Amino acid sequence: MPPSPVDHDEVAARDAAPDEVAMLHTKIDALERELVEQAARANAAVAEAQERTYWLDRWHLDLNALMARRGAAELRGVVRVGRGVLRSARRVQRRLGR
Amino acid sequence: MSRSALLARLREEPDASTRPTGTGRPSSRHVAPSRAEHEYALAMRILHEGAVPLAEAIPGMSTRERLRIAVIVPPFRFGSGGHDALFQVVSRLEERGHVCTLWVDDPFRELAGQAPSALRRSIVESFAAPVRAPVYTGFEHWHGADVVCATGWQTVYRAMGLPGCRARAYWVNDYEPEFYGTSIETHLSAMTYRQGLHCIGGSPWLLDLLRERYGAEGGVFRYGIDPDYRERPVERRRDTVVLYARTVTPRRAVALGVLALEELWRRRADRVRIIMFGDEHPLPASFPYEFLGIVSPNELSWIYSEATAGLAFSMTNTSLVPQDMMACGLPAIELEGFGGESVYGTEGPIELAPYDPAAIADRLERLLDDREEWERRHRSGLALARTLTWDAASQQIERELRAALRAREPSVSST
Repeated sequence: MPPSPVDHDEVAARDAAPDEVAMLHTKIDALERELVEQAARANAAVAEAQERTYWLDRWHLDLNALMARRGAAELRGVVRVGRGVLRSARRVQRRLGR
Repeated sequence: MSRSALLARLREEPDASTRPTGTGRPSSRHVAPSRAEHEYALAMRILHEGAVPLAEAIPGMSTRERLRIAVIVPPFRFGSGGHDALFQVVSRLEERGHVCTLWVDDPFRELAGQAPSALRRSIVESFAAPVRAPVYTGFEHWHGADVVCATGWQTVYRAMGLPGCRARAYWVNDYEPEFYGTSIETHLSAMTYRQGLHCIGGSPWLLDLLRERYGAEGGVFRYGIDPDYRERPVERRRDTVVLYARTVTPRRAVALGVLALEELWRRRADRVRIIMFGDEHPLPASFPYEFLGIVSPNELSWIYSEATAGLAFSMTNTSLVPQDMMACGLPAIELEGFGGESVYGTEGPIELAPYDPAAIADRLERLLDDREEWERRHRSGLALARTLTWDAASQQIERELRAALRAREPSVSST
């Protein structure tokens, strides 16, 4: 039986395939690691937000809804003025204390 | 409502067991729809149409260092041993580097009004499980996982309906069809074992039962013991029997324990002190006893350290309570035939008694009177308890989650 002609393309593909597969595996590994890292960061952010909102949720307080109510902006203004007065008083107290 | 219908309603005695007296065409009340679909519609859909296909398997996915693990839990309250075990393991899986999320599946709205942040805080504080995972109370933010783990029969159908999972596992604490009288719940819970999830059984007995009856496959893990359960510096009494009397949980066979204590009291009235705990209300009994109600692990450890013998039963898998007792040096008795043999052996630190009040009373008397036998059980119990940690349990659970992923990997190489 005469030897079959060598298919150079096939040989090249056969030689290249392992490298390519290894490269793809490496890429998959990297993407997988990235996915896990992203999930970990997202989970940490959600968990932290849940920690912060615990008492608001426990008391069923929706601050966004509360602050959207009539009079809330005025109340905030009063609090702002009050804080300003308090800070000024403390500043004066510190100066007098020197 | 018409006048005659109104009069008929007024004549009704809702609590009386008398025959209704109305005549003619009965009046009816209009009931407006109050839910999108029945709570079991999802289960029926899954059984009819099958599960959402798993995500494509990736070579090496079972051996990756960090896994994304989503755990679906049924609604919970303080005192649930199954949830306690689960949260302890989740916190250890996180310590081992895995990225976990907790999803509360609450179709009957038992926890309605409780925000995810409040549930998360109760896990951290009430269950003393330092989980870092966020808690979700719905599935609109579902974002997939390497392994999704169902943890109660209802959650299996939910897990099967979620996309983006590479494997599904099923943490089985109890043989749940026996939680119910013959009902749709017995059917739906039994069907979960046939769905091909990788089962992680709470005892070899339980896994064997699932294998034999349903063809399920999987592995087992060994429960850890809460560090609060340890021998306390309190004088050990020689006359005290403690019964876990959680009457609201029928599988605990509290009546059998009470019958055994009745027998014990008949034999040695005034020479035995009886304590019961585990329920909000004391139950009537023919003997006097001290009632503790629902108490914390820390409080219980003091009682266990003072008592002579403990009784705690479970008819759907071996109970965690006897091993908590054991960790406080208290020899305990549980029922034979419900998984105890597969965990402790027949001559192990936990005494296994037949389903017979007189035989249980015999075992109790032996522990009360035979100092040598008591010492042997006491010492072997303490020795075994030292090996039962949540760290070890989480390693076993991790091994099974990886096995669930590995079971899918060959399909990659074959395609």
